[in-house]
Amino acid sequence: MLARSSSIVTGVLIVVSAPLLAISILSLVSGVGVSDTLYWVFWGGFSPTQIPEAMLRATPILITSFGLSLAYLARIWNIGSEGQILLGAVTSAWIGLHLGGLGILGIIVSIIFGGLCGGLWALIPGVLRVYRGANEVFGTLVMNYLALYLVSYLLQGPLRSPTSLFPETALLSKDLWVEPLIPGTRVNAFVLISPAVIVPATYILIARSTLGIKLKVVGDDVEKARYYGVETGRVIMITMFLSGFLGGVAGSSEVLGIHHRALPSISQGYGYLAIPVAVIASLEPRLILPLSIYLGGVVNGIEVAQMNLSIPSGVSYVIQGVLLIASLPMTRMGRR
Amino acid sequence: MGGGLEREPIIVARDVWKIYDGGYTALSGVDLEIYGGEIHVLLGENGAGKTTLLKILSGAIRPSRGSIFVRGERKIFRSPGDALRRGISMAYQGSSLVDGLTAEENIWIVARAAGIDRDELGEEVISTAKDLGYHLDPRSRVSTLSPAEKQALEVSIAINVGKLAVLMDEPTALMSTSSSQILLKLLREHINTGKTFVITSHKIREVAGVGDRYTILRRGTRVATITRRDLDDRDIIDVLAKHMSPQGLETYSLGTFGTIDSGEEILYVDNASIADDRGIEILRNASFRLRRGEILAIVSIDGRGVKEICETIYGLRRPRSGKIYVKPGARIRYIPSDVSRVSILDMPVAINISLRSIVSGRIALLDLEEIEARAHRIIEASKANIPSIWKPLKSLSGGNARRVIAWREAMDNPDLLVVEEPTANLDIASSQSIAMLIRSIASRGAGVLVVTSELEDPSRIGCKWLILEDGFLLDPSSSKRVRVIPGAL
Repeated sequence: MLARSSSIVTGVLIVVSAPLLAISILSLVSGVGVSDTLYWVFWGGFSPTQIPEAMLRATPILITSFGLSLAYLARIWNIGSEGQILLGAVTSAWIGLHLGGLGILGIIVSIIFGGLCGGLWALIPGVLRVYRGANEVFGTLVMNYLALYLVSYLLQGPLRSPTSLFPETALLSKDLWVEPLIPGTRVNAFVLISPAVIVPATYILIARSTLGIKLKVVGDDVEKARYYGVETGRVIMITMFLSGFLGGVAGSSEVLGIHHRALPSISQGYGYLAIPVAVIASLEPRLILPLSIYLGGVVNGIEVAQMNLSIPSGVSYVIQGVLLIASLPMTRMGRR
Repeated sequence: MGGGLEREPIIVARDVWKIYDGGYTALSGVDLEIYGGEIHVLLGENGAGKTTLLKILSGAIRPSRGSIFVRGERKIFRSPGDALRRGISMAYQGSSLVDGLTAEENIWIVARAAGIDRDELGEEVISTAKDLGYHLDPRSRVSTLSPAEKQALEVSIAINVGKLAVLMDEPTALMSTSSSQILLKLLREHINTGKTFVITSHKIREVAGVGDRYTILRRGTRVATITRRDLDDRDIIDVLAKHMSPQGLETYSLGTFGTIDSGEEILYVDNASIADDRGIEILRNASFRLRRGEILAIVSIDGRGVKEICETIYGLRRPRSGKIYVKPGARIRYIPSDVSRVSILDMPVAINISLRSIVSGRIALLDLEEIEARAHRIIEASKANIPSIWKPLKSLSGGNARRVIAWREAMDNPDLLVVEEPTANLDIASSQSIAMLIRSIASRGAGVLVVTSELEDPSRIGCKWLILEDGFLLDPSSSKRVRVIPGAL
């Protein structure tokens, strides 16, 4: 019990401090005062006026890490959410372009297709793992790059809006836009509904349902799962699909709620940021929302800091990389 | 005794204790004297502490308490290399060779640690292996060798590198019968060059003609040390057998508890062979039947194959050949020897008790009331001492955790109950209550298969039993050659 709670504390400390440490070092390197940088990061992330934006960015992290936390509970390491988000977004936009005039029904269909595409994309490495024994970490990681280039091709080619200067799809019909609910902000229904659904769902599924324990048995030991008659292969494929589906939905939410079209920069690394959140949430589901909001805020704050100080623009990639590396030891946490 | 025996022992162990991290006491106050120029055989059942004692003498592990004297000097080796430099080598039961390196490179590693010439050692080792009947190519990778060849290589290295004493843990376990006999003869030849050998074995017959002296260990203590002097092979077998099992196992009762007359057949093993993970057959062409109400114990003398047989009957493994028929629709439950293999240690006791229904049922909210009720039922029946059912399972002592899991499985109305090592590492009270449990489950109409390495389990439970030795099942009641001490010959 002690081991578990101390790994949660360590995990939270890593997630909280790693981005701050990374940006401090980067600003030192680029000759900017660390206190200036941190000021802008915090102001940009967590000042009252910026909280809505932090929430906005937390939403795809939250949706994605929900699915991932279930997979991680079974120690199935889907780290390909970024690709699943991108493909979900593009599919959602593409189908949305054909659904103009359907309103809420069109929105729902677009979300479902986004989710299906993300889910099927994740299922490929899942199937390879079950039937060919291919390590899903490599599988999902490679699928990220495939997704990146596929999306880039689609947006430069077949799906590119003829009227746009940039590689992006045409705008969706207005009736498919999920509009801001709070005036003066971009806070839309996704931002409000996702926590309301996901926070209790994560807690109940992981800590209060038979599913959480079943996934844990699979994660503990394949032999153990066989002893109890659990079909590990099925569990792997279902959790892979489910986590990919939610990644796709996250991509869809960005399209429908914010950009109203698909563009290459639709995910600000949310698929990577969701990984450490999900690792911790699989141990302590109640932390899924605070951590998502924190990282959403930090991402936003870093962008604000970049605009105000001369910090290199690649800094957000560094943060993603640092968090990803920091997540690696965390995958061993809470285990004997 | 050979003429070259020295008066003073070269290695002495005094009051040696070993308590492993998990709390398991492997040795409790063992004394041992090894004289120069003798072959000393450590005899004992699985778990008697033979291997632990050798590992302490060779520096692989440190004793929890006690002293070791080498040539009169108090000395506790810090590592096997430390012992090697003092001329004490050891061949391990499981291979200690590096799989990814060649035979030659493995020899060089040892030569370097012992501080002797590597080429000379290489030649000697290959030649010894050849004497044993194994023609090893020094440049072949260890991973490509068969288990027998690996053991031959390891034994050959140990023989040639240990100038003072050579310790060998079950040196013949994996070798062919003819090679085993050659090895034991070879030891006699090496004795004349001034070496000393300490070997472990559980096969009295095989080592009866070999040793100068025999020390019998039992549950971590020394039962006796017997000097061969002028006893002939038959006499020494009798003497050793008596010491190895004081009750002589004459007390075991054949027959079963409960109703056996009209029980329907629940398990039929037809000419089945089972291999372990290394591909070694631990059960060969075995056939037996089990009816409702019956208890059958399989006693594996060296402890090999216990887990594999249980797992195969339960359905986790497939037999290599032959058939295992379980009555269709029969509910099989399996009590493993190691609780951690089938539980989640950091989850509460109550969840672990209900784990089977939680994991195999539909996805639903946890029914905490039912989980709690079941936990209380199982704990009450098992008389386990559980401070709180919501504490993690790992907070329990090993004995209590085993009780909980055993009763969980047994009280799930099985038609066939497979029990692995029912009494291993349990105190007498717990062992007795597990034996009672097995009898009561059988009397309720289940067939119970017990697979164990403890010779005493069949008499404790009071059931029919078969001996598993070298992969073959023997019936102790019908075979004449196992009359003296069933199982050990």
